Amino acid sequence: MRALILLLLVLFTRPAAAQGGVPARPGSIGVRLGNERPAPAVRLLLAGGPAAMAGLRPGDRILAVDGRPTDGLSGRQVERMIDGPVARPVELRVGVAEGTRTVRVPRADLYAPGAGYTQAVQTPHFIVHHRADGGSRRFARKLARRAEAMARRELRGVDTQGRRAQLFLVPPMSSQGDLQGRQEGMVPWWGTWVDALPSEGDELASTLAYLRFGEPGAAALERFGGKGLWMEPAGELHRYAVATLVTMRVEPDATPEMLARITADMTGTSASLRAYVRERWGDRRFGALWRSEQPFADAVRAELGVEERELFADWREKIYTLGPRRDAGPGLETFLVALGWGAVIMAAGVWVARGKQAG
Amino acid sequence: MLLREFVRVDWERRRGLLLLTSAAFALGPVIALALLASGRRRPDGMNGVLLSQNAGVLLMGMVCLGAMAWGAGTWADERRGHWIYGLSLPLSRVHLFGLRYAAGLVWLAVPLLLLGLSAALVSRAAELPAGVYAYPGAFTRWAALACWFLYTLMFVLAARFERPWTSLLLAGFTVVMLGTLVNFGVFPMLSGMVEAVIFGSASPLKPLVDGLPLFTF
Repeated sequence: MRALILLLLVLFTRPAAAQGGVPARPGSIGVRLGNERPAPAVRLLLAGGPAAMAGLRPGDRILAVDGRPTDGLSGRQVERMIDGPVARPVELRVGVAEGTRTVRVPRADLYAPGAGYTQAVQTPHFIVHHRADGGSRRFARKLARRAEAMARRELRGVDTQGRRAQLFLVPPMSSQGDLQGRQEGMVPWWGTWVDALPSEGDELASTLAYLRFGEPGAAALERFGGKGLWMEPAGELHRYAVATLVTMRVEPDATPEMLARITADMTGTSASLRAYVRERWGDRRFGALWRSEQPFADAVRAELGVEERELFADWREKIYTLGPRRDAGPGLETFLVALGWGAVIMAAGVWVARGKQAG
Repeated sequence: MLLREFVRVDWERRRGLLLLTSAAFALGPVIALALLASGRRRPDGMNGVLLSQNAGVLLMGMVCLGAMAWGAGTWADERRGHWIYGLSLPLSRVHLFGLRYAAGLVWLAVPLLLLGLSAALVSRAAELPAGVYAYPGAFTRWAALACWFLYTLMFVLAARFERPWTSLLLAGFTVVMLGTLVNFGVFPMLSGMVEAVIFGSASPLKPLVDGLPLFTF
C-alpha cells in the first residue's frame, strides 16, 4: 500500500509541463498597441472585447498598467504587462483627449477552442484541434508534423516563450492547395500558409492570424460556412489576432472566390478592406502594400499616401465580434489529475483506518 | 441497503448544514446575475461584467468552503462520543469508512444539482450585454470536480484528526500560503511545482484561482 501511494504521488506530482500539458493561455483584453512615445497608444480593439467594452478607443494612450508606468516601453512590452490571469482585472491609466482616467478591465480567455473540438495532437509549437467532420485524425497528425518542421526551421532564434499556436481542423473547402490536403479531402490552405511562415515573431503571428480571421470561437466557423482551415493564435501569439486586418496577406494561389469569401466573411458586409483599397488605390498599390517589408503604418503612408488611421476609419467597427467559447468543464487531463489525487487521498485514509483497526 | 441506512443517518444528523449549503449553492448564480444586472444599470456597462467575475471568484470560494465543511463534518458525531453507532455495526473499519464517504457524496450531489439547475435557469433568463456569454455547463462541472476533490480531502483529514475545523483552517491556510508562494515566486522551483500541480491548468483547484465566472466573455 505504501509503495502504491508513493507511486501515485510520483505520478501525479510531476509538473504539467513535464507531462506535456498545455500551458494555460494568459487572459487578455483584446487590444493592440502601437509604439508611440512616451506611452503606447491603442491601435486596434477587439470589437466586443473587454477593452472595447471598458470604453477604450483607438488613440487612447496607456500611461500605466496596474500602477506601473509605461514610459518608454514598446506596445508589445505593454501588451505583455496587460496580459495576466483570466478573470483578474487589470487597472489601466489611460490618457485621453480630456486628460487621464483610470479603468479596470477584466481579462478574458479570448481564444478558447470552439464547441465540438478535441485535441488531436500537440507539438512544441502547435496544438491541433480536431472536429469529427474535420478529416481524419491521421491527417491532423501529418499536419502537425509538417507545421512543426516548418516552424522549427523558420522560428530558429525566435523566442516564442514555449507557447503554441492552435490549429483547428474543419471540413474541406475547395480544390486549391496542399496535395496531402486534397488527397485527404481536406483544406486547400495548408500549403499556402505554411510556406508563408516568415521568420520573425510578429510576422508569424500575422500569418497565423490571417487564417484565424481574428474571430474567436465557433462564430467564425459559422460565418465561414463551417469550411476552411483556420487557426487560433495562443499564448504569446494570441494578441496579434486583433491585427488581422493590418497584416492580412493575399496569397498568390488564392482564387478570387476564396478572397471574396474571406473578405466578405471577415467584415460581415459586402464591403471589404481589400475591395476598399483596390477601389481607391488600384491593384498595383494594393499588391505593393501587402508585399511591403515596412511596418504597416509606414507602408500605408508610403504606398497609399494616407495615414493608417484614415485607412481603417470605415473599418474599425466592423472587424469582428466575439463568439461564445465552448461551454465545457474540466478536460480529461484535469479529471485524471483529480482522480489521481483523490486516489492518493483515499488510499491514505484507508491506510489510516486499517492501521487503527489493526491497533 | 447499508448505504441507504448511512444516507438516512447523515440526513438525520446533518440536515441543517446540508440545507444551508444547498440554499447557498442555489443562490450563487442568482447573485452573479444580480451583480451583472446592477452593473449594467451604471453608465459604464463594464462594471457589471467585472462584478460578475469577482462574484465568480467569491462564489467558487463559497462552493469549495461548503464542500470542505461537508467533508469535515462527516465524523463530527462520532467525535462527540457516538462511535458506538459505527462500532455496533457488523462492519470492518474500511467498510465503514467507504460507506460514510459514499453517503456524504450522495448528499453532496444535492447542492451541486441545485447549483447546476440554478445556473442553467439563470443563464436562460439572463439578458446579457453583447460579447458576454453564460457558461453554465463549464461552471457546474468545474464546481462539481472541485467539490468532490475537496470533500474527499476533508473527509480523510477529518477521519484522521480530531478537530476537523482546525484541519480545515490549516488546509485553507496551506492553500493560501501556496498561492502566495506561487504569486510571489518566492521559490521558483517549488512555486512552479505548486502552480502546476495545485493551481495549474490540469488541477481540479484551478477555479479557486481563476474563479468561476458564470458570465464572461
